[in-house]
Amino acid sequence: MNILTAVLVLGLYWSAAILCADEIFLKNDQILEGTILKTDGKTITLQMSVGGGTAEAPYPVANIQKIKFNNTPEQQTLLDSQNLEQLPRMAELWVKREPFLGMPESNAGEVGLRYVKLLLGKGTKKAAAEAVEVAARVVSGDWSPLRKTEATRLRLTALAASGKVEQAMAESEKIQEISGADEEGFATMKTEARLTRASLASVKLLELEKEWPKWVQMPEKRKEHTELLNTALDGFLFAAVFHPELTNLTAEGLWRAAELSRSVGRQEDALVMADEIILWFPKAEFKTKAENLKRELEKETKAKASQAKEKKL
Amino acid sequence: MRFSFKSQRTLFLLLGVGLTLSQNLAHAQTARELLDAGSFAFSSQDYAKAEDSLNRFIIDYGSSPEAAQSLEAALRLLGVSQLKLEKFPAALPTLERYLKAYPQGEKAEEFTFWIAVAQMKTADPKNAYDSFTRYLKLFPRSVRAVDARFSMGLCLFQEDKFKEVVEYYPPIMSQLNPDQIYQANILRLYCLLQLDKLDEAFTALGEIDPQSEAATKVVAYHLLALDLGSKLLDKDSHRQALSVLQRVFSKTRLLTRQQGKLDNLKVETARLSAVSSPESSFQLLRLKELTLEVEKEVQALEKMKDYDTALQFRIGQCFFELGRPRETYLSMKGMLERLPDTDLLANANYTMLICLTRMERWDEAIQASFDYEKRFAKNKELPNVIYLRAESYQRLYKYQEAYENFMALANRFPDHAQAHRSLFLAGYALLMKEQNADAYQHFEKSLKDFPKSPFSEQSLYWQSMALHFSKDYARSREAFAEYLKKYPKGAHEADVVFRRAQALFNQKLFTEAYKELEDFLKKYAGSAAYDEACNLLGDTYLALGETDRGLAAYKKVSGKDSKLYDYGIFRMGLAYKALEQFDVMLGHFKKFAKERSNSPRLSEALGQIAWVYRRLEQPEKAKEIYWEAIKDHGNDEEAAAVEDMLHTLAKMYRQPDEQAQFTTKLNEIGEEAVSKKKPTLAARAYWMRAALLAKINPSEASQLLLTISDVAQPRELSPRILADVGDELRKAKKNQEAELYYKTILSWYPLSMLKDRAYAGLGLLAWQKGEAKEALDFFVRFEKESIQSPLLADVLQARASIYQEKGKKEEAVKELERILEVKSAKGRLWVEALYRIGEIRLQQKDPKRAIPYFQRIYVMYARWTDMVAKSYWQSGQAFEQLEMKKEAFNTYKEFIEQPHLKETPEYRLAEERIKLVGGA
Repeated sequence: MNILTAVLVLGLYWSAAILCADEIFLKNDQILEGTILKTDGKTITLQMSVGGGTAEAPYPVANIQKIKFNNTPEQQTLLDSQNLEQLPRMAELWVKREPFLGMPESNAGEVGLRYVKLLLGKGTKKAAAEAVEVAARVVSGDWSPLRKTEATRLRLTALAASGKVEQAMAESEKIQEISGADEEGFATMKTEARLTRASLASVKLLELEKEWPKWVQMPEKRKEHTELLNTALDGFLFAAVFHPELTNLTAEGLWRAAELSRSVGRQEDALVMADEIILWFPKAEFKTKAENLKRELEKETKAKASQAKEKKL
Repeated sequence: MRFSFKSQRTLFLLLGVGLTLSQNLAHAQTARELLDAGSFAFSSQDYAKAEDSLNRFIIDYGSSPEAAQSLEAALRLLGVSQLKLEKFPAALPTLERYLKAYPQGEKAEEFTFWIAVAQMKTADPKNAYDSFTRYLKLFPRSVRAVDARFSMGLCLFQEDKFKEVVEYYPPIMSQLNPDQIYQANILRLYCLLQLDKLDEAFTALGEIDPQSEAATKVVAYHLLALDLGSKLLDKDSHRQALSVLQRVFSKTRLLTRQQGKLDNLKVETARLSAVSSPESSFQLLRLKELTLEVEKEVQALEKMKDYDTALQFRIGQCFFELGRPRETYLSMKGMLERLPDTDLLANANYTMLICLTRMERWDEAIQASFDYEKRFAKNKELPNVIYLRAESYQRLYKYQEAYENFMALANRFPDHAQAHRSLFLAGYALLMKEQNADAYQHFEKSLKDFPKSPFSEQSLYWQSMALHFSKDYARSREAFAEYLKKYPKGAHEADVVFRRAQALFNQKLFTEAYKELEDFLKKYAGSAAYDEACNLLGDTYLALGETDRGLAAYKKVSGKDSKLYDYGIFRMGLAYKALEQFDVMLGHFKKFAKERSNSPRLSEALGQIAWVYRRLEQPEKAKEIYWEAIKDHGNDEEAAAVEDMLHTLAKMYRQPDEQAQFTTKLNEIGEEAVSKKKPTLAARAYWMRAALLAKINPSEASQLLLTISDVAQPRELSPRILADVGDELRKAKKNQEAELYYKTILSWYPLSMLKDRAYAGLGLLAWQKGEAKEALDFFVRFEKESIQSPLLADVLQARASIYQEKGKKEEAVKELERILEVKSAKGRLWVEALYRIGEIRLQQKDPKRAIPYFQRIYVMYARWTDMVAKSYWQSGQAFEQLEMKKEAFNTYKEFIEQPHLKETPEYRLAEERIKLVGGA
């Protein structure tokens, strides 16, 4: 390494070190850098470099204006990760940051939300229940109103995913009422809650068909099947009716409705949904799927028509 | 509802016209005094006074040469004052005089612009347009050029030159500022709507972003969108209309947004008020005007009471017209939940109801109809709503409710279009309820009351059918004859002719019946009743002993309906039997077995074949036929007839050596099936072996049934075997496995006659697990399935135990009493029921009512000695409780006088007790 390279590398290292240092902004305009270690609610302990070593010092919360966690590259990678194997490490980070939720400018809530999303990605009821808890803590404790809103939405999604769909629906309606005029703010949340409910109904429907293959011949099961189908389709089409401005969710709902309609033998309905996606909500992911579905359905219809013709002849 | 936009135009015009006024101002008596007074008033911003003084100066001294030096300033200040006062008609000559006299004057540019504005303000758009054109020619780079360009469009608009407005803006859009672009787009949209260019309007709407910062007059956008949506809807462009209408905000959302906009405008106005510069003055003026316009928009919107309802209804209407009932329903439901009651909302409720019926959501449709009646009882659609409710009930097979609602419509709204139909359907509902006599009366009355009803023909037909269903064939024939007389070419003509013949047959008037049937077949070939008539004619001829003609009739059956076809085949086969044409009969049934191997009557056909072989003294051939069929169909779990065949075969192997041979054959089949992976066939072989051993060696039989679970999965078994194996597993306390077998019956064979066994088994399992509620639920389903089930006594016993455990003793007694009505339970189960009732009465401290039950046991059921001994003992005890010592003594005495009861534990107790009561 020549001197220039060494200087450059050292410089980079130094700037990275500065970037990664946490900061405490005191009310007297003094800014302290170091690693925020802990808090007992009354003081925040900061570890700072002093000379060649380190020192820890508690600062009264009353004297602090705001704090700023600057994530290390590892922490940032962790936060950006969607790898479920990172869940334990994410949980650790959340435990460390959670006590600072209420401190202005702290990004503890952001960690909480990322953790919630990762938990939801696991797709189990247990993980979803944990996500409900974490999201609830962000809702009640975060200093940022914006994040509280997102946490509220995620909490309801998690609640539904944990199996408490009806509760999630009821709560989302309640929030809608409280919000009064703020239709836009909760449209996504409300639509997601409906989609989740519809998905659960759809899953139950498929389970019923699997468990009761002759459900058509059973009045009780037939009734249950019809109810589940209606719940699912009503939920999937909710966005298309009430919030078409949420184009992604609308396209997703239409696609799910198309899939379900096809699986229960309602090919014509499936075709209508596919066309809706292609012509009016052409979101890349769903448009391709819809086009494929349309092709398949048209092929099937053609085959059926020619079969019928042959039969007639 | 159509929204008028005439008033909106004023708003648009204001936007362009209320522009800048500049600074500087003036004052007098003598020329000097007037000029000074004008200047002073002007600088004090007292424009009215300035105008007065300066006007007088110009009138009095304007043409004098002495005033020439001050004329430029006087005209300039006067012009500005008049503009400030918005006295545009007065300002116009001032500005023109100024420009004529001073074309290069200080205010030349500004006044050239304002002349155009003043012309616009004085409703002279044509000249205003020309003035703006001249302005742009003279001052193309002026700061006001952009306003001039924008305003020229407004002039065209003012002249109702909509086409020109549409074409004017696009080329200059890039030169306008953002809020002007927004306004220009709104103007274009308005004009396109006026020109009825809906496709272009649709495109134009898509190019406007009402969410942008520049979008101030958002209400105008949404009102225009609503108008466009409505027009597209009227022109049947439903999907485009939907897309447009779905962009329109609700009133609440719009008001909230505009309120926020107003707040922002006020903050900005306050900020600019504090700043003093020529630019800020211009901006301030525009802000004030905008604020005024937005306030007007908000006020106008607030006055539109039906806005939300109209919007939502149109969205629902689009979905409805697009043939999307689900989305229509969701949309209308949303309206009904949120919006206040209006006629439009009543329509929404009615539309929702129609959609629910289209989706066959009958329960919800009924609920929606009641909601409608509650909220909109006076609305014109109420009769239709009642009709749909009745229809929904009918589709749910709730005929009583259907009848009531059809009648309610017919009685409450006799002049309604659906009244006659309802009256007819009410009668039909009675028929469905099997109230044939009531239905007859109903149709009789409606035909009398409304002889010209469009449903007279239908009513007469079904009135005749009511008699037919009541088996009053003589009268039904007459009624059908009346139908034919009145409606010789009626919709039911063929059926009526057939029914008349059928009535003869049912009255055993065969000689008359065959003639009418022959006539029917000639005249109505291909009719719905044709095959049935063929069979009936065959039956008629057989009844008359004319076998050949009968056979010929059966042969005519087309085969469209498999049941009717099989019926004919079997009747033919039996005819051959009667004629003793066994070879023909054999061939006939063999052909059937080959061609109709999936028929539910296959086993019956094989039985007939076997019968022929036995009759021909070829028993081995008969067996062979069965074995072949078992081989062919034995691995098909749906072929329930295989089990019947096995039982029939068992009867054909009567002698001990034959039975051994049968068992060996079953063993062979079982082993081969296992090796060839035919689990169902293997299971059947095991099952039959178990059936053979059931009485001889029950434990081995039981073991064999349990073995079935090793060779086949539940799904591979027929319902009969599933039920038997399930029972065996339950008895062996393998409850989880047993549950799976019972549930497989329910899930895979929902139409099976053996569902009762599944429900009974599941109920008993639940009871064993202590799940009383689930057990009772299964028992209820069990009873719904079959009241004659051989398991009824077991179920009643379990149910009595559950009630007893819950302390519901009377309910328990009722269940036990019911056991005594089950003939198949006669024996031990009856004895146990009697004993338990006695016990319950004793627990209730009612020994008097207990004694007869115990007595019935030792008097009538001596065979069950253990129960007899217990009953003697309990009876004696009961007498003692009643202090009837003599009767107690006699009971004990009778007990111990029976030596065969000596070994029972109660015997010794009785011996002890008799000593104590003996002295009595």
